[in-house]
Amino acid sequence: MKTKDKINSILIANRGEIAIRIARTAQKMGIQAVGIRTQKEPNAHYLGQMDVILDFPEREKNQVPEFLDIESLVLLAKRNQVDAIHPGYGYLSENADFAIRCTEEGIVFIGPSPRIIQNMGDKVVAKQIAGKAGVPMLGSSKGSVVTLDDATVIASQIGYPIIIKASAGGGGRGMRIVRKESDLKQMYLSAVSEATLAFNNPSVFIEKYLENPHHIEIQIVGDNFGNVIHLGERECSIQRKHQKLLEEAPSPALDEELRKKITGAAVALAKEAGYMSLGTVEFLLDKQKNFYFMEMNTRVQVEHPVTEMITGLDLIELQIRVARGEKLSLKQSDIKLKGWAIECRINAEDPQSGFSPCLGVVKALRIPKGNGIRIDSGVVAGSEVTPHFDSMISKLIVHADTREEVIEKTLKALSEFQIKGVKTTIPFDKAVLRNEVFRLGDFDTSFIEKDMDSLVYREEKEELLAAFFAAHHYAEQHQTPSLVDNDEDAWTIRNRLNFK
Amino acid sequence: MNSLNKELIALNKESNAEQRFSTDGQGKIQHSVWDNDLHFETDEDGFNFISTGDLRYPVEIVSHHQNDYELLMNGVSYNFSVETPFSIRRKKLLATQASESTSIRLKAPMPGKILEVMVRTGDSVKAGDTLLILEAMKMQNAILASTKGVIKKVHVKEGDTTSKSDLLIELEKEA
Repeated sequence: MKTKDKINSILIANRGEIAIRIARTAQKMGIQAVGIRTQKEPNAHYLGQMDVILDFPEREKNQVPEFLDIESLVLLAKRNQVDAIHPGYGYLSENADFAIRCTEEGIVFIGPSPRIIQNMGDKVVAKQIAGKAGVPMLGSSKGSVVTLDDATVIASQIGYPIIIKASAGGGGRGMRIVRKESDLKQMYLSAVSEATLAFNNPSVFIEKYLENPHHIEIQIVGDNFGNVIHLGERECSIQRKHQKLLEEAPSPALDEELRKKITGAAVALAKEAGYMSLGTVEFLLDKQKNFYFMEMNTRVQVEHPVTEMITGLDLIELQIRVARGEKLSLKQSDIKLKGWAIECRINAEDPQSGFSPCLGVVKALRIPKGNGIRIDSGVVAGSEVTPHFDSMISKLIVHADTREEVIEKTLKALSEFQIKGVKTTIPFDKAVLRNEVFRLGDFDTSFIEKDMDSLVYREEKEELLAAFFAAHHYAEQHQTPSLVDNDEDAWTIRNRLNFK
Repeated sequence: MNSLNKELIALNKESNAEQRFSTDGQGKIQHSVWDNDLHFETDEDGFNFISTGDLRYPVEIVSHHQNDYELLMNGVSYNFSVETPFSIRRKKLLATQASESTSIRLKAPMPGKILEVMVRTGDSVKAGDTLLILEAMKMQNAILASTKGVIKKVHVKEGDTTSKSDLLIELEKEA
C-alpha cells in the first residue's frame, strides 16, 4: 500500500454523523477535512463541520448514488489535490476497486490494502485464513453440494441443525434450516429448485446452523510492521433483521478467560491476514460459550464509540496514523478497559409499526448533556429526513463505571433526548434498557422477538396524560362562542402554543 | 354545539380504552376520577409540554381532523377520538351494524419505489400476508394486508415510484 509521510487533507467520502466524526479527528490532528456536497442534501448539517466543501460534479442522470461513484470521487480528490480519502462505513468502505483506484492516483485510502479487503470480502478465502490461524469456525461443506447423497453425508458430519444456502445466494431465497435428517431430502430438493428458479443456478452449500447465538465482535488495529493489538469486544446481539440497534462494551456474556480466548483468536486471524488498519472480527457465541468466526469488517464500525469510551482512544486517529505509515505506539499491555459503555442508535423509524422509516423535518431537537454522555448526530433542528439515505440520524453513547450505572444513566439521557417532527427509536431503546432479561445480561439475537413484551416503553401515566391532552385540545376548540371573545384565562392555550 | 355537553370521552382507537372528563364549556376540563393540576407550556426550543406533579412530558399533535387526534407523547404514538356520551353511543351502535364487507384503500406510507408486487386482482389474502415490497430509505418495507379479503384492484406495478399517500391497492374486506 502506498503511504505518504504527510497527510494534509482528507476527502470524506461519506455523509451524516460519520462525516462529522471523521472531520473532528482530522481537525484535531491538524489535517484539513474536505466534505462533499450533493444535490440531495445541499444544506446538510455535516457540511457545516468541514474546512472545505467540494460540490459533487454534475453527472448524467440515473447513475449510481454519489458516494458509490468511484471515478467521480477519485477525480474529485485528484483535481483538488487532496492527499487521502476516508470512506467511513457503508458505501465504498469495503470496496477493493475503490482502494485500488485511490492508490493508482496517488491518493492514500484510509483502510487496509486492496488485497486484504478482497480476501476478507470473499467468504471462502476469509475462512481459509481463519483456518490457518486456528480460529474456530462453524462446520460447512467445502464447496457446492451437488447430490442428495453428498448432502446427507456432509449434514451428518456437521451435525444438525444445518442451513442450506444457495451458492449464488442472497435475500433468503433458496435458504432452508434443517433440524433433523428425516427432513433433509424434502428441504434439500426445495432449496435446489428455489435456487434454480431465483438465480438460474442449482448449486447450494451447507453450513452448521446456530440457534439464537450471541453476536460479539472484537475491535483490532494493526500497522504496517506486523503489530496487531485488540481493543476489547462489543456486544451486538440486540438486532432486528440483522440490523444492530443497541450495542455495549464490554459484553456481559464474556468472562476474563473467554475474553482472552476470543480476543486472542481475533488477533491471530488479523496477523495471519497481514492486517494493517482498523478492523473488526465478528464472532457468533453459542449457549455453551463456544465461539465461531463469522466475518471480518475492514472499516470503522457504526458502534466504534463504545470502544472509544472504555479505552479512551480515538479509533479514527489510529486509523489515520496507520494509513500514513506510522508504527503503532501502543502495546497490548497499554490497553486498559475501563467502565461500561452503551450506544443507542436513534433511527427515524416507528417501532410501533414494524420499524417502518419516518420521513419529515426535525422541527425541534434537544440533546442530553453531561459527563460521560456523547452524541454523534447527523441532524440539527431544521434538518430533513429524506428517503435518499438510511434512517439513522443520531447516536447516543453513554459511559459509566458499571453496567448497572450505565443503564440508568442512558435511561435518563434518553428521557432528555427530545425530537419533534419525526418518530424515532427512542421509546424502543427505553424498553430494551428497562427489560429484566437485558438487565440480567442474559440475552441473545432472539431478544427482540422472544424477550420483549412491548417494543416501546410508556412512561408513568403517559396514556392518561395523552388522553387529557386530546380532550383538552378538543374542549378548547369547542368553547361556548359567547365566552371566547371576552373570557380568556390561563387555560386558553390555543394561540399561545401555536399548535398546527 | 358542544357547549351543552358536560362530559367528554377520549377513546383510544387501538385499545378502545376510555378516559372520561368533565368540561365547563369554557375549555377547562377535569378527569372523572383523577384529581389533577395540569400545566401546558411551550419552551424556547419549540417543544410543547404537559405537566402534573413530578411528571413533565413533551407532546406534539401529529395530525388532527375534527375529533380525531394522533399524538406523540415522549415519542410514543397515541390515537384518540374525542367523543361526547351521545356520539360514543352512536359509534358503538354503528359498529355493531357495520356491513360485513367494506373496501380498504391501501396508500403508500412514504415515498419510495415498488420493488415487487405479490398479488393480483382477485387474489384472496389473509391478515399479515405481504402484498408488495416498497423500497424507501435503503430498506425494503413489506406492505401487509391488515385483514382477510380479496384484492379488488392493484394500482401499481414493479418499478413504479410512489409519493406519500398514493393509492397502492384496493382490498375488499371479508369477515
